[in-house]
Amino acid sequence: MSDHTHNHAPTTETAHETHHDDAHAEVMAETTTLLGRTLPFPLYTVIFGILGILTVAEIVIAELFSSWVKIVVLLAFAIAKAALVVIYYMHLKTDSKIFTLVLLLPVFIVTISLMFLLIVPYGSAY
Amino acid sequence: MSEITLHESKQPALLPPKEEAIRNDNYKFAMWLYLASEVVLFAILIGGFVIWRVQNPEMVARMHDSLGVGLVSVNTFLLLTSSWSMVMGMREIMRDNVAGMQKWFAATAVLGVIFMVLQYVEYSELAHLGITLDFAGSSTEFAGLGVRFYSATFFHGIHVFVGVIWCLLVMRRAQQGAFSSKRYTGVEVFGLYWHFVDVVWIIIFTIFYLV
Amino acid sequence: MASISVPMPGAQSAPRPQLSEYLRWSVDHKIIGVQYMVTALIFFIIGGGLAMLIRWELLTPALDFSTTGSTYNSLFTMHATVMIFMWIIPFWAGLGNYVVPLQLGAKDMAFPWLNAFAFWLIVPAGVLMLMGYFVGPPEAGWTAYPPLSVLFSGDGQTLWIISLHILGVSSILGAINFIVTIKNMRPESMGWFQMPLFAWAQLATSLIQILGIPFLAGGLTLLLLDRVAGTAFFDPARGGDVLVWQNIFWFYSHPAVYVMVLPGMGVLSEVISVHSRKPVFGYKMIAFSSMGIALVGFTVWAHHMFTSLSPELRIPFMITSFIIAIPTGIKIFSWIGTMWGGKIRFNSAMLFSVGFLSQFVIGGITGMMLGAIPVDIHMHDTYFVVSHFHFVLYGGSVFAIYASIYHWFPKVTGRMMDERLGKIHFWVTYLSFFFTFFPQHLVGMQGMPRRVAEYAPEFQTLNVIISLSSFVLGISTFIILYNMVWAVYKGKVAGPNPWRALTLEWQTSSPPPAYNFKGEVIPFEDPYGYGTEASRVYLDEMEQRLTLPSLLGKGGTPPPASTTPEPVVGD
Ligand code: HEM
Ligand SMILES: [Cu+2]
Repeated sequence: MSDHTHNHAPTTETAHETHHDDAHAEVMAETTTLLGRTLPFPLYTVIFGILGILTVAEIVIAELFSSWVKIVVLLAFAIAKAALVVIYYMHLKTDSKIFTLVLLLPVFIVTISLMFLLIVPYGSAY
Repeated sequence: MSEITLHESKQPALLPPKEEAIRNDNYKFAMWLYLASEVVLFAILIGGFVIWRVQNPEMVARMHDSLGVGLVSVNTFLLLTSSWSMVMGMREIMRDNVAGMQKWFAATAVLGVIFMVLQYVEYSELAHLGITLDFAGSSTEFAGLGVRFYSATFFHGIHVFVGVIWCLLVMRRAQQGAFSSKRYTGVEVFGLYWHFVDVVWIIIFTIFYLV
Repeated sequence: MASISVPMPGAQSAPRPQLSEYLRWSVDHKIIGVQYMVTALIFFIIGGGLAMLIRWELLTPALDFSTTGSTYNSLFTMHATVMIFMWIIPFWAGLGNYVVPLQLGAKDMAFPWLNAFAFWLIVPAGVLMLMGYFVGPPEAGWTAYPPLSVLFSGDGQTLWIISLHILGVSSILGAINFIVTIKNMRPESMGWFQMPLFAWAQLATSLIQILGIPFLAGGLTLLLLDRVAGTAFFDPARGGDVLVWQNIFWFYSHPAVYVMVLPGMGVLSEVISVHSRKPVFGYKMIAFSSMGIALVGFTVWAHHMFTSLSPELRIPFMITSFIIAIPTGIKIFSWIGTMWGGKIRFNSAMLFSVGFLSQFVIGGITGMMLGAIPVDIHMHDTYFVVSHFHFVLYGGSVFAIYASIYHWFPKVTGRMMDERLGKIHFWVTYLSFFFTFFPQHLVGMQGMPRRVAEYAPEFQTLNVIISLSSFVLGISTFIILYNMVWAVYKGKVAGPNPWRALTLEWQTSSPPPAYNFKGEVIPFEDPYGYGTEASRVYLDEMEQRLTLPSLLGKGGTPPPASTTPEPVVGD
């Protein structure tokens, strides 16, 4: 039965309420605990701060270095930023797990196709 | 069937709470499914650029040199900030503070508009460099770059535009008292869309401007 | 050979919606479902007419009524586009719309307004598409490969692109609606694995559409830019690459062939189980294989491009193409297992299902042949391919559509179709289908290319056979159309559950009332639990509840169901 809680119309209400309790406490707090330290900002602001720092770091790296390592690092940063937004701002962390599945499926399929197109030799070499 | 038309014309607020809760879930689920489609669509446009970039690295480097990262960095911060103000606005409505929400959402909309203006400025600069959408009009230095660059960034720009309009609509409905700490799915669904547009920009920023 | 059950004496069909309700905006999923299906049938007739012209042209090796090859090109382009995008796909959307909420015991789809909107997008799209034919027809085939579609086609190609864009939006909206409905609107007692298999099939189909159509939309956008904005995505002379289109297109279109056939497989699971009076053999395997097909379907696209790829890139796609036959094969064995030892009623719905099985197996085998690289290199772009996909799309999807019409028509209209006409329809269609498409294998293996208006004289004998059979096939379609129109007015009253089926759409009046169910919805524990005592009790009880005078329209006073003779049907 446990797996049904979120699937069936009549029980949805309760499921909805409980998840909001979790989400509320975390989102509404005026302070956030990060790496064991308590920061005097709400969660959303802390995430914003991290996003900002990562972006500045990205720009610095892009301006200062130039090698394939740079590309890998930048992509990793971009993915980290995107993940932060999706997990916290879009509430994937607390919402139904099926939403996560809905997001990962296209990412997976797109990765397959792009990988293939990237390894295909370009132009006449097909 | 007349009965059904009657039902449809009812205000959503009149629905009994249980049905309301079901709907909440429905709307968010539907939005995620829609975003799944968008992931694929943007992936093709971004992928088109990536594949082409692998073949023509010097051309992209030339564009980066002429463009610099100043303008686009500002733009990136605008969008990040707008995402932040968006969630802060939602946080206000979760504690029944409609006026607070309106303030944050106004900021979101304004940031979105500035983003579009700056993108226009950037497009003019690029056009100046001879990077155009059609192949024939493009300078030979940048042949073929324009279309791949514009199709992705402009498609994203349209999404920002739609987002701003939607933001204003949400604010209007908030004005009319449509949202409260018990009912804010309308805000949440818009939030999903807006953050998604932000995520796409995060990817575009890194891949188109930095790498 | 058993035949259909005789409706109870005196039973009345519930009141039907007015005709005018079908002609205007409605948010009732039952109205929308019928709107979709009837629109699709109209396009079927248009597409069929074009096919007749194609076959007429091919009666002789020379040009007949086409003045140039271009005329012929536009014929087969329009034929394929109409059949795929405006007949099969919308028909399944319509059937799903009608049946899925009922099977789930829901009042409507999750988003009724969106549902209506998705349907009404079909209309402008259809108009644009047909208009394109008159302003300078598209000539590049339904695959629209550049450079043909960019450099040579008329303005109709631009309208074609826009029309497909609109259809894509419609399908995505519909698919979102289906997925949300299926996940959220089931009654509490119906878990994922008590869900009817047709709903599973629609779920898998909708997933494919959500993930696949954006590829088409992206590709079409680029094609449109190439045509109207002077860009050069697909022009090798200017730094573009034609194969990018082929990749994007097949990345959508291979999954799209499953959009066309998966709902048909869902129909088969329903029809075969109901009319064999036996539980589905391997319910979970069928459900999982639908999902498996949906996902693996995204990894095989380049088998359409074997002749354009370098050798080492082909092999992975040969392997995945073979893998995808496994879930399909599982389904086929499940259906055979379901029929095995059952008390089969060979009525029209069942005949078309068995017909599907036999034709689809042939289509599957030729698919495997084409999936083998060496064979494909030889057969690519010949009539062998044409034969392959007509066996799966006509012998498969269209036969399944016929089966679904015979099966659900009593629910939609409250009237039975004529069984004798149905059987005539089946045999004429089955035989003329076979003699239309089987010889195409032979002529293809001998080397006749597809998409040509003129051909070498040695192919003529076979082509004449094909054309003549195809004319019979075309005419056979009118038998079912006549049968439907006849049944709406003159058909025997069906009663709520003429097939004594267990799924929920039959546990309400025919046609169902507004909001589908009066009172509580009680699903049987197993949607396919035929042949048990419990199911017999359940069916009798439901029958009795539904034929109480108070639940019928004015004037219905049937006797209690327990005294009703149930002459031919065993459970
Ligand atoms: C057993 C699984 C299948 C395999 C391995 C398979 C394989 C293939 C291959 C290799 C081709 C390309 C032939 C060529 O152009 O040289 C092809 C074409 C085609 N197949 Fe299948 N197929 C399978 C099932 C299906 C199904 C179930 C459908 C539709 C319901 C379908 C519809 C089509 C269509 C429409 C084409 C022609 C596309 C065109 O216009 O070029 N196939 N198939
Ligand atoms: Cu294929």
